[in-house]
Amino acid sequence: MRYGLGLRALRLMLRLLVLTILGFVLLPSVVVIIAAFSDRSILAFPPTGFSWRWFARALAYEDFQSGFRNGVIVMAWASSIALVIGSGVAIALHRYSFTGSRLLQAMLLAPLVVPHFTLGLGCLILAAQLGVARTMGLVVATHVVLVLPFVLRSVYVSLRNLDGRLEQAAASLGAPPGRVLWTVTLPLLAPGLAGGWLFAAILSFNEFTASLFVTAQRTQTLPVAMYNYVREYADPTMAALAAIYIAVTALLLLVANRFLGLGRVLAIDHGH
Amino acid sequence: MDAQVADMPASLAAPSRVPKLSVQRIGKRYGKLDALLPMDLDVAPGEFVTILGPSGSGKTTLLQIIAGLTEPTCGRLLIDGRNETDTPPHRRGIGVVFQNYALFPHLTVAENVAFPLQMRRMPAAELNRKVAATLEMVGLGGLQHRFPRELSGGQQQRVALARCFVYQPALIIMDEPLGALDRKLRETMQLEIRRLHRDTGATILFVTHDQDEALALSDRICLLNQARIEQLGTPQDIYERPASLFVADFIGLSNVLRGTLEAGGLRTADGLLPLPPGATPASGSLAALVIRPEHVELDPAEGPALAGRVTETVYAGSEHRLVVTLGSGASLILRRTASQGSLPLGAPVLLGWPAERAQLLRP
Repeated sequence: MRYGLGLRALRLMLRLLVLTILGFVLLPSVVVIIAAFSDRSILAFPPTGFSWRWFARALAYEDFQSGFRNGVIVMAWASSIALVIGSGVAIALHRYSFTGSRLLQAMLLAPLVVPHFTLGLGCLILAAQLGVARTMGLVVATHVVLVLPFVLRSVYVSLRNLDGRLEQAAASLGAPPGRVLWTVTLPLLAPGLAGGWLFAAILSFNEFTASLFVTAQRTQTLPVAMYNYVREYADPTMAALAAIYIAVTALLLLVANRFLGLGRVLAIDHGH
Repeated sequence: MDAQVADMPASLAAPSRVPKLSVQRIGKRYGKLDALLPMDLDVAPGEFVTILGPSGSGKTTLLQIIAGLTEPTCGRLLIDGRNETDTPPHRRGIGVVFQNYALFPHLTVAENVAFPLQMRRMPAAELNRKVAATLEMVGLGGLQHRFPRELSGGQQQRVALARCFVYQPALIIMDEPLGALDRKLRETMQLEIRRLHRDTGATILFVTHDQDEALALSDRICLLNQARIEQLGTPQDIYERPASLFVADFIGLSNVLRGTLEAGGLRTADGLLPLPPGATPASGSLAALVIRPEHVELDPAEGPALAGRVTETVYAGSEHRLVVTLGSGASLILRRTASQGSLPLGAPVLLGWPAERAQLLRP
């Protein structure tokens, strides 16, 4: 009896602990979402009334609209370019060991540990030296450098899990190297490629620090536009935008999970 | 046209002295390690040759070189008399059945089998007909829309065979294709492979580490050990006339009696044993006599008689196996048919063998 009681108390405490941790993780988001429905024009918690007007303002604010458009364009280009470069490099690194292959790998993975601040500043100085204007091209180029390590890693891990004998089998069955790549290697890498692209896209869309350096008024992405807004206003528009952000991200994850399987996208499990 | 030629028995085909496959001084080094010492091997058209050997003996390396998946360090490889040493694998037209099958997991059974035909740009109607016929041949009709992971091991094996036989390659290499199957299924698949070999007339190079499989399937066995050919011959050759103690030990059960050669025979701890007729050994050197268990007799009418006691009996269904320990402590195994019956443990016995049944080998 006493033993059973102790065990039950322990279970209850464990459950409480899990709930506390969950609450701690979710609390900031919850506070922001609640604050977004405030009816007053200062960001305060708890809100005193209910209103949708900050959502309307967030959606109608022109800098947010252009920031969203720019963000999507940069995201699509940067993660797609990074996917092509990253896959090529990953395949080369996986298949051949050449002079400097380790150095190349180290350099491409470096942005994982270099602060985005450094990268953004570096890209800005470089662009100024070369006389390149702060165009979308510059933003895309900076983001490619930032997301490349993630794509490279994702594809490289998928390649490591790929059974090399399948490619050998395809070759022995009469497939020239190009068709082996197209009919066997790429389809088997598809989950890794999709996962890498998605990961890169999310990173690019949310990236702020480096973007702050390389964007101009015309090319600013959504996080930069949000930062600029907060510097001038302190109303709940930001909270409303954050709420929309959370809702859209959750929706995207649900869709990705439905059609791709989240485990496969995040390369948690491997279909062997 | 092709089908007619394939249907013709080998003896009626135009006599050809050109081997289907000719391995000439082919060797492979990895740094300082010899994966394969330079070796020669000719395989005649339509022949079934097994490459047998313990793991690490170079079997897979040899197979990979023939398939074009590994480059040899030295030597030449001829197929139908043409030098194909540097031809990439997809232009060799060799069928390969891989260990663990290497089926494409993202393609259905039918798509897997259709793959080599698509690579050869076969028209759709003919392709579908061939895929269906081949799947029927290996007993997989009705499973064409399944994915490999939805099949049992034996079924996956059949898909691998179908994918290989569907484009009728004249030369097929199989790398331990039955390694992952249980015994019963192995025996069924062995019969299947023999039937396919007979029906298609293909030349087959079969890699295994299983000596029973090698004896059962092959026209000839090429026994590899430590990166070189230990012996090349028919199963009967290899079983009855092993070229070395390694071969005698690797294939089947063997009794080995070691000693020193002298004028009248082999001096062992159990006395002077007669040599097989025709043996002309140098006196004073170390040697061993190898006798297969089925040639060991109880109470022999002639020849040497060694005294010993029965120390172990094994009942194996169709036969009894007796282990007899001799005075020196060496033990011999002999076989007795079920009707001859067993002997009680500890029974004293006299053993002998016809002198011509023993093999004299260097240790």
